[in-house]
Amino acid sequence: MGRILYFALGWLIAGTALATAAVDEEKPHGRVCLSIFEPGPPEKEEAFQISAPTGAGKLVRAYVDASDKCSVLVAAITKDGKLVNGWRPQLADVPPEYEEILLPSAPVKWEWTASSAPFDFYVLFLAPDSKEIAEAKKLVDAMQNPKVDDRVLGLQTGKLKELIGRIASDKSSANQAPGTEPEIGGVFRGAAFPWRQFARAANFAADRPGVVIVSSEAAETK
Amino acid sequence: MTPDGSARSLTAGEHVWLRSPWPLLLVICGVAALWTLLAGDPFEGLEMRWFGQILRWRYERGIAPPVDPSIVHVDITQSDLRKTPTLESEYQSAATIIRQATELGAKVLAFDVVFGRGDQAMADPILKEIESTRSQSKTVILAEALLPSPENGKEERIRSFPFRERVLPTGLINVRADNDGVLRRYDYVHRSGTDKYEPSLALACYLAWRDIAWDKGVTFPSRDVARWEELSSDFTSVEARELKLDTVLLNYRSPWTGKGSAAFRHYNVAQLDGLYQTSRPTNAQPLGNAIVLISYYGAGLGDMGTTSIAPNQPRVILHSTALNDLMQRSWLRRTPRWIDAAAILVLLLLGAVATLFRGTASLLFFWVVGVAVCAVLSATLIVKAGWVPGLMSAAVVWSLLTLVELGRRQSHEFIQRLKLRSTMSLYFSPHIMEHVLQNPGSMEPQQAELTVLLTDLRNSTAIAELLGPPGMFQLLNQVFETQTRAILAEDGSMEHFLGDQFLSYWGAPDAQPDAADRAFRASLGLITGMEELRTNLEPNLKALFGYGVALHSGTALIGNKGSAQRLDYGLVGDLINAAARVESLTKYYGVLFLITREAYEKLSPSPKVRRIDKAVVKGKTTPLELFEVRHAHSPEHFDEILDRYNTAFAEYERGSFQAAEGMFAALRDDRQDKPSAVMAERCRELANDPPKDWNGIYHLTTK
Repeated sequence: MGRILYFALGWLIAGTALATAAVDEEKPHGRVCLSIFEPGPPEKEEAFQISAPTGAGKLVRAYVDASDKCSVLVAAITKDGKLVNGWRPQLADVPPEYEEILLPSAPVKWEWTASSAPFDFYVLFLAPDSKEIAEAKKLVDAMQNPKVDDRVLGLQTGKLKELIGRIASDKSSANQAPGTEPEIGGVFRGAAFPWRQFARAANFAADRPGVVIVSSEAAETK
Repeated sequence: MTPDGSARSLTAGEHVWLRSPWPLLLVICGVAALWTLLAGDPFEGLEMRWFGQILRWRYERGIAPPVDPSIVHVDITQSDLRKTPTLESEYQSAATIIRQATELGAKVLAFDVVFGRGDQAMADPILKEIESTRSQSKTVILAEALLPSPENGKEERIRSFPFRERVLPTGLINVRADNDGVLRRYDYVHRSGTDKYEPSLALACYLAWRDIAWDKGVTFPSRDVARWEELSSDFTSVEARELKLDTVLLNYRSPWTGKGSAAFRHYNVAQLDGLYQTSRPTNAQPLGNAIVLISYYGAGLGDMGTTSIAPNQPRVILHSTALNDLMQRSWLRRTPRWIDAAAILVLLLLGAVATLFRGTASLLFFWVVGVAVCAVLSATLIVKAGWVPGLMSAAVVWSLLTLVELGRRQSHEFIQRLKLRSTMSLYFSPHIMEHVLQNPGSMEPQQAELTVLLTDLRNSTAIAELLGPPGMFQLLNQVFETQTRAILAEDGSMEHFLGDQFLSYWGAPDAQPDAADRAFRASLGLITGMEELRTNLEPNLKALFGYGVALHSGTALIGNKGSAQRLDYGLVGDLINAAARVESLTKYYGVLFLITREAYEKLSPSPKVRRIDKAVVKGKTTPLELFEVRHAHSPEHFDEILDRYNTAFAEYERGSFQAAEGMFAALRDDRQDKPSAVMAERCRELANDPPKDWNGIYHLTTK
């Protein structure tokens, strides 16, 4: 056990160094870590990998914090434009001073019980005065309705992708975080998950949202 | 413009087109509005040039709205093509573009390129990539064109890979320029026959972007409307979106090479490859959900044309602009004819206001204001409301109206001047008349300082009996001709001919500082003329022919007097009555020419005169001091008579009537001086009955 933890710690330190390499910590920035949580007993949690095996009761969670107040939009969309496993997107306010929040908020759950088509996990940090927030909030709120018609949900997802594309598409106006993901991260049982060690960060500003994309293609190519 | 009060009589009978602005205003506006309604805007070219100017101005001022960042151009440039010297490599490059753009997140790729050459083997890389994108729910759209066949004129489809079945979906790249060669308009749907519709490249891109299939998702509830379903604006339901199939005006945000948020993103092939390489490590999707339009761009490559906003633009910008307009619902539409016609009719209201602007300068100012209003309103409607109105034609019609109104006013004024001239020539010398015509206000009623000249023909009854009516009128006209010539030579104005009397004046309608001198010189000229006339008369007529001339100065009222049917510009006041009395006294004293002290004191230099008398004429209370002027026809011994008369008159004024009588009688007898005769008789009467409080002023009892 001790050897495993020691080994994992070494990788975590290297991963954290990589993850924060492109971030200017003097400027507003946000951090995110996706994890797979398995309710116990004992509870287990590990950094999310798209290649991670699915299993009964497993949940995907997103830990988020930020240096400055902002909003975060988290959505997982398959390459062919559908919500991954029906996961409803989340838009939440992130408090300043690195106070963490956990997504998705109840009652939404992102279950990792069935495999999915290739997909992209989008995490967008939006400054409070960002012009896209109002539209994003309206759309995400509309998508929370569990009884929404599949066709409407499909159109909503298309709209969400359009919105994300608009925010994240222009390289010159988005801070893209490096696309690395931990090649190995230890499994933490019965202890607080040290998510910040696995987090990826991105700067954000009113005209330059921070974007983190976890792509299943990247996982496949590794 | 015309003397007050006379305008009505002067305009009577004038043509209605000139008298009032309304007939021309109504006709021009009516014709222009009707023309616009039935045949379209006659100045459509001007409207379109103005429209282009507004688009350029909007971009240059940085107020053009941003384009949707989802639209991206990939330009295959000359330098890119140099790297693909063969058709195979060119097709391979196209396949690479598809793969890279797709992996960078693009959702729709549209080629404004027709792969019309090669064979199946060459096409395979492209077709393979197209197939691959389909598996990722992405779409590649190939351009097609419908062109008339040069052989039979029938519509012929120009498409990619003609050696195999069509690769769907496709979008038509048919565009047509206006008559001036400028690409302004776009048809989202091509309609052939009665019910066959095909999407343009822009519409095909949009539908693919929205995951709407053309053949299943789009319906045509009427001939001119396409309908499909989209997410509602509150994102909670599905609602129908309808697209009118009429031609729209493209809302160009920026030129092809423009910068800023109003310009589309561009990458050439090399840049796309660079973007692809740099984005891989971050999984970044700089083309996330984008619609990528791929076209040739470079000298000799692809189609170029002049658009509303700039010349030499790749035609693909029509499709990207149309696509952007569709996404933002921001295309422009030409206002319907009836609105353009109504705008022209609104000019009638402006015309009504313009009638308040009497002067040319103010009318021109109002014209400028009207044109500016049209321009600003037009620009506002284009920029803010998305409508391109026919206000430039309204501005042209407004300019025409202003010109016509100016012409009408000039013509009206010219005719008025002609009428006025013919009327005033009865009263004024040509010089005075010109001055009056240039200063119409000078004919306003006024009180003026005048010198009047009044002359009268003697023995007219006897002469009339001698000559009979024709002869009498002939003589009168000769006399008046002579008098008129003398008056006009000194810029005098004539009041009227009344019987054989003739009144003229100086000092009005405009002040003449030397009015008395002019009147005096006119009097001398008149006497000379009359004496010349006398020499040509028959002896029996010559004996009867006589006249008197009187000159008097003072104030009088002058202006138009009479009724609406008959007006005269003339004098009113005691000055005229006094002048008439003085003229009568020439007969009483037996002299030719009398002037009053009021006139005499204004003369410079003072002529040689004999003070004849100081008297109060009948009906008056103010005494007049009368002088006989020496002139060319005065008695030969005028100076001697003058001295002796002055001596006698001094005695008379002192009240030494008997002494004065003797002197006057002697002068009467020695020189047959008629005033001396009158004074001798008066002195005799006064000597018999000396007046109390004698002050040298005699009260005459006859007119």
